[in-house]
Amino acid sequence: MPRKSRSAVRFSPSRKALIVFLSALIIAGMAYVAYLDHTVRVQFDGKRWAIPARVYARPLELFQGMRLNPEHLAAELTDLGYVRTGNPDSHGTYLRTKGEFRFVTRAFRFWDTAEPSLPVKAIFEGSDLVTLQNSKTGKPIDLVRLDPLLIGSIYPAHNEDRVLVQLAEVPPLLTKTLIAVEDHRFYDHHGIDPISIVRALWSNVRAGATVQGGSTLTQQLAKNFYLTSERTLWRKFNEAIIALLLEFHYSKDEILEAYLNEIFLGQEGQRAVHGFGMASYFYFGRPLTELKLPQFALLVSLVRGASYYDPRRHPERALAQRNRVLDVALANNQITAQQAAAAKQATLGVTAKAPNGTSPYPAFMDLLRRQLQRDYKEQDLTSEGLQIFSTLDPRIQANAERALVTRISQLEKQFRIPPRRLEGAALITSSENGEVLGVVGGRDARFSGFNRALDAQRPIGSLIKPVVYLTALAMPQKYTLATLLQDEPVTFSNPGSKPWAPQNYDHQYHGAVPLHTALAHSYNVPTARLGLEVGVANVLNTLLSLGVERKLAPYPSVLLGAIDLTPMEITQLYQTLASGGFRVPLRAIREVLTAKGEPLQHYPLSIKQVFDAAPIYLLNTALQEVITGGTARSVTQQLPPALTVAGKTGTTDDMRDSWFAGFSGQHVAVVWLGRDDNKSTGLSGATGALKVWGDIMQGITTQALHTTPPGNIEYASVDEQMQRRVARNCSGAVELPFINGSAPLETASCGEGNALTQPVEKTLDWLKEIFR
Amino acid sequence: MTVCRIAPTRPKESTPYPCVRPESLRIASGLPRPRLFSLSAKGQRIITQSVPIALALTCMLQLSGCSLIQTRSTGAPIQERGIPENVQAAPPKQSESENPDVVIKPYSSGGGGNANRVPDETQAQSEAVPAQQEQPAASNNAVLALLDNAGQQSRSGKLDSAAAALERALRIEPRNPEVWHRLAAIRLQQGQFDQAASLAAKSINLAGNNTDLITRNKNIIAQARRKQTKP
Repeated sequence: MPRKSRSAVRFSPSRKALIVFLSALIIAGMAYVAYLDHTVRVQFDGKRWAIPARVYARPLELFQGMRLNPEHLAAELTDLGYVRTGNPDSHGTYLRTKGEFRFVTRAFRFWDTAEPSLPVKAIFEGSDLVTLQNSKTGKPIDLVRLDPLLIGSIYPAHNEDRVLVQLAEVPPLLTKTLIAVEDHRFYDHHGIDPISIVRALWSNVRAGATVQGGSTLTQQLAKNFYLTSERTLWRKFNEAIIALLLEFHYSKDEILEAYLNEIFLGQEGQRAVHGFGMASYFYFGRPLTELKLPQFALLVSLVRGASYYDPRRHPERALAQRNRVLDVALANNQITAQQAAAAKQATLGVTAKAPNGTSPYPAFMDLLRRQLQRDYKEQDLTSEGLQIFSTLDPRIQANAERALVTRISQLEKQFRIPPRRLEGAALITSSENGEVLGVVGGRDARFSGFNRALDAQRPIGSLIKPVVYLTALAMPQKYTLATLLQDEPVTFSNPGSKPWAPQNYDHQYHGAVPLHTALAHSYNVPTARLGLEVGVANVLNTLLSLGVERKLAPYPSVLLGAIDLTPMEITQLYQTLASGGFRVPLRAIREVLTAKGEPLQHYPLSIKQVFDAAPIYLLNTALQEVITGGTARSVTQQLPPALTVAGKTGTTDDMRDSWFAGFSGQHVAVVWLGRDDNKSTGLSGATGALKVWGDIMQGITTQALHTTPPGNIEYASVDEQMQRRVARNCSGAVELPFINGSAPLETASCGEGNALTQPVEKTLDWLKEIFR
Repeated sequence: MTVCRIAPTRPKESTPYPCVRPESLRIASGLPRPRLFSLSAKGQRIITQSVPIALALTCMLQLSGCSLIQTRSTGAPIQERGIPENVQAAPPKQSESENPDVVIKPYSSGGGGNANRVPDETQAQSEAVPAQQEQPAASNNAVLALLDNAGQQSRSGKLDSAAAALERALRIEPRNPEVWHRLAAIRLQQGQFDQAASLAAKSINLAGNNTDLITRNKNIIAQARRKQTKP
């Protein structure tokens, strides 16, 4: 614009022309100011920042009578940044003396209700939370919900990270210190402060260092919020104009609040930390409201140069600058001499590592984002400051990671697998409501690479067998758990394809075996026969209703698991079995709230009955036998005796894949082990994945599998070889559940069959299993 | 894409909150998205726009002696000023004293009793306490408190909140048939008939020999079927 005016001068040397020129200059100047004014206000009044969506773990809920490992509570409090003190009296502090915890929870606004801050006393006996009360009043507390752990954010491309704070919630001591140091005449000037500029110059010369700046807070805000960092006079001029305009339109409080949220206070990799709200978490792992004077002074000192005074990289420099800040605050009468002296004694107190900008749970976040992307645009996720409440249980996740990583290294040594070749994945869900509690996508759980839990499609081997048997058991007039299946050499010929001769894992044949035994011992030949009897297409239909929504061709080899599925799909499949025939879509999200805490979307529990309860009950009885006397027997050594579980091993050709899928009364867990290059691992389902699975189940608090039979189930003792009912105390008698009317009708007396041979055969079976 | 779009695995009636399109958030901010400022890598803004509007404004400025500018731009709604309300309303949590003193028995102990009796009802009629001892709706106070809360919410018409409390109760006692039953009843009220029937079936599945509860569930299933066929 000034150029335009100059051109006017060239052609008008006369006085009249001068007036025209001056008028033009004024108009242009005014126009420019008006333009600045417009932009200043549009930007300031609009949505000022793109705020990444925040993802929270499930909140830990405590109630009396709950089973909870006290170490897990301690770990949760530590993760949440609760500070251990002798006398926990402010929110975010705790004290633990053995089995007794005292802590003050943080207030937190959840989707359903706002949880107030509460002083809590929790007493454990072993893993039982026996007492839960208000530590001030001594009144019992029914239920208390801790604030949820932030497990990740969804960043926009430019990676500015901030947690917005309102002036009202910022501790006054911080703003006082800030104003004392950066602009002590903040409340007296109108945007620019000539006195300060002179004084700052003077005190900097005297101190021999930059301890005071000449720019007002308003100017700093103008610079950071509106302008580039280049140091030119033109920019300085703009900065001054914008500062004046800001002061003209907005109150001091509004300007201060914007400043507190805008200012750059740290950097980690791609992520820029802006504002005191985020900086508090970044350096101290706690909300701003829980900090004290020494921490405020440290944060204020970072305004001068967040990387130069980085307390993690240059602790001495940071300490010196913090103390200088305290001196200035004292000199300005914002703090007392005692306060300053005490604060100077304090250590920097920053956490050793900055909280990871990228989530420590990349595999879970991956699942969460896929589920979010069905409903939200990427841009909204990275800019609207949405609060996403996920289902992740950090304790279960940590336990699963540890189990997988430790076992994998151990198995590599034991089975002479080249180091770092064995990979794995694990998923843990809550069996009745389908919430995904933990996802491990590989042995390097922090690395967000190939997510095997979601994307590794591998042959599932014997994991398919429950589907085959369920198809049969749904026809009680034809099949029961006692039905004898023939395990002898057989070849199936199908016109147009090669004849198929399935083999058992142990290359033995076992004669006539009861259906439940064939499943518990994972015999291939009787399974293939059974599957062809009920029809491959029917087996695939069962698979579909159980939740595997994938188009599959009805080849007979499907019956022995020659289909590729992901651990996630297997989890959905076994989830339906675990919840008694009710399909529950696996969910990683509970709730999405706007930045202001308004409910935006609820992901409700939704269930669908896809199978009658009775055949599922029969199947699950047989799947328990897999553990008590079948291919997964070895896991009983890992688990507490009272923990009843059910599950199925899976091993594929040449031992390329080692699977175990199973459930307790509360949790479903699926583990896969194998190599990315698809080479043999030498691991069966039982020697590999089952070990990890056992560690996972053993390390979490879970309930035994419940076995309340549905109304149309009756128990009967039968002699399976005779297919007759016998007295319960006969030597060959087995007590089995039957769907009403499907148990054998004829009875026999003890010893009518060849009960003699059975114990021998059982021993042999048992021996064979050792090598499985 | 909108929030109300139904994911393949979720049934149609499963969006209890009013359908809000995420995009509308942005619209509500009153800001045209390609902003007047473009963000450089460091997040600093460079003024990029040209001047024509400004010239017009200048004239106004000159005429009015700047007084016009003091009126704040009206287009930007206050709620999008960007600062989240991290405030906590007065604790609406149930007070401890409200919970009836019940003799706790595991719900699975089953056997007759009047399962119809729920804690939030007995509260109003304290003389009914002895009957309640026969069949508490849950085995721990946390679940009782949540059932109580759900009862209050549903009586005041807040069905979403009631359902949220029941889901929370199910996380604590996932196999409590009474909780599943009440969730079924809420879904029925909300017109989610498929879910109502499924949840009631689930409750039956866990109800053991609690014939009263089974009857109530069958009732819900029958109603759901009937209403579904006659929309």
